[in-house]
Amino acid sequence: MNLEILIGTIYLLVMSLVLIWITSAMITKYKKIKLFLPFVLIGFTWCIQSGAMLFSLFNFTIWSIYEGLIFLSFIGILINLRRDKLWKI
Amino acid sequence: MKYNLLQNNLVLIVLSFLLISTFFIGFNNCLNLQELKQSERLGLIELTNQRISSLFFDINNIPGGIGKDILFLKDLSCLDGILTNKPECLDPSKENLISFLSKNLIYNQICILDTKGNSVLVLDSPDKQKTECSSLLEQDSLEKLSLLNQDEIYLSKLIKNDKGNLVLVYGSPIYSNGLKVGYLVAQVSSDYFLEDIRNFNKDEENVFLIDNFGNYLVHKNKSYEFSPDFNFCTEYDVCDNISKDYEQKYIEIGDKIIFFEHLYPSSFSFEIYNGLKKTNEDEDYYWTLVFVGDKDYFDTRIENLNERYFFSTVPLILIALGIFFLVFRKIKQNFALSIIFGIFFLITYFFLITSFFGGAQNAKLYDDIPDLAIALVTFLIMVSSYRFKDKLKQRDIFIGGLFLFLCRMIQVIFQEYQLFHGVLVSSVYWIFLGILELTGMIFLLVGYGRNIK
Repeated sequence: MNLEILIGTIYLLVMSLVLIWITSAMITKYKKIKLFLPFVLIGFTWCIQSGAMLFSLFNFTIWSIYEGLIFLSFIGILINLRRDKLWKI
Repeated sequence: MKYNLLQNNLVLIVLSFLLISTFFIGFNNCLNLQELKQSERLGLIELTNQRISSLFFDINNIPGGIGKDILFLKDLSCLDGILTNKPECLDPSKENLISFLSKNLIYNQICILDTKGNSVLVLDSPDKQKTECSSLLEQDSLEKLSLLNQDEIYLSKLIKNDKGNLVLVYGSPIYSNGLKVGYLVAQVSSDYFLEDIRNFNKDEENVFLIDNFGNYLVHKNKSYEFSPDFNFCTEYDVCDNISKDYEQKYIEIGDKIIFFEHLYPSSFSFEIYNGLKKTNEDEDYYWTLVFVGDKDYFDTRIENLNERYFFSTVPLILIALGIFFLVFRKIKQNFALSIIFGIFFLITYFFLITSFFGGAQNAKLYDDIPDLAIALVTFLIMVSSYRFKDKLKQRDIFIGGLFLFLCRMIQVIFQEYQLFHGVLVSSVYWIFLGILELTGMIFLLVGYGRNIK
């Protein structure tokens, strides 16, 4: 395994763990799982991505799933942000 | 009410257009894919043929050069004097030949023989084991050598010398005042081209050099070479096809695909270089350069096309549909936003369509579309922050969106222009992007969590 892939794997794994950790703390605090689902999805997507890199499974399929899930997650966040009734303004 | 009706109809029309065109291009794609697979297969075969040709030209470079060397050595002044009893010629000729041997390491040995085949002078390369010169020349080779004219050169079969090394023997008559007085014979190590062939072996394909009887001259396992126990013809049972088929350069048999190229060591070497005549008339003796590959390897690469074709379009379809719904969700609320989404949707759909026809495989932007789409959404997240009166929430969401937007745009720009090279630079680049993305996500998450009811 070359250095570039190793660094990529570690950074993705750390990022996903940090994100999942903070998100789970938020869910515990606000008790609104649905609202934080896109963040959990992003965390797990990074996890899948780092696993694929670690086991050299990175290919077009994984890349497609990765980009598709990330896109959908951000769409979810955007929709939530613009849904006024869920937020105290 | 009118507006809603119009909007609903428009949604239905565009959705129908999307579905019909997707089915159409999907159907067209199925038809094209078979054609593409066939051309991909031919492409792979052509690629292997090119590899064989390049190897052939690599190994064919030196024999002609050796022929020229032999003619050059024969032209050295006083060389014939060794055979015509001129003692003053012995030392200078010896010196010239030793100097030549020390500079040309592929030569194992140079011998001067008299007309009866007895050694008059034998010079060995300084770092090579000494071998007996005359033992390399069989009786019939000596006869062939004796029939040559002044500028003709004899080339032996690939043989093993008494030290077990594979060598080629070159020979040419020496004339003095129009009379044949002896022969110059050079023993050349064959490792220079045999090693080239061995190095061509890869995991998924084996490369052999065999003679006309199927004996291995080069095999990645050296114990197979010149061994009576191992024969290509008995192992693969294709020798009849290979020896007859000069036009087709490959055969598919069982789970193997076999590429081959015939080489006539004497004629090829000698025909290419002007001034040297082909002298070995033994057409029955030839070598065959054989590539044996697994058919699975070829098929897997072709099957990958299916996967690539299908999955490359999945994110684009998702993005196209996602943006499409956002456009119609936003028309009533925000006309400017819907225009931005609409333009992006058209671009994405354009690439989606061209990808089915193979056009986007060459388009650089194709791989950037998902990143650009994500960048657009993060930009909108950033812009959405103005909706919140809480300054802290506004700040956090703005910074989060900005960082994530920057992260994607940097990826697009750097990938497009390939601005980073080398492990160190790209590692720094990835770490920087990782920090930027994670910080953006944390800001977004913190801002997101503020003041939830």
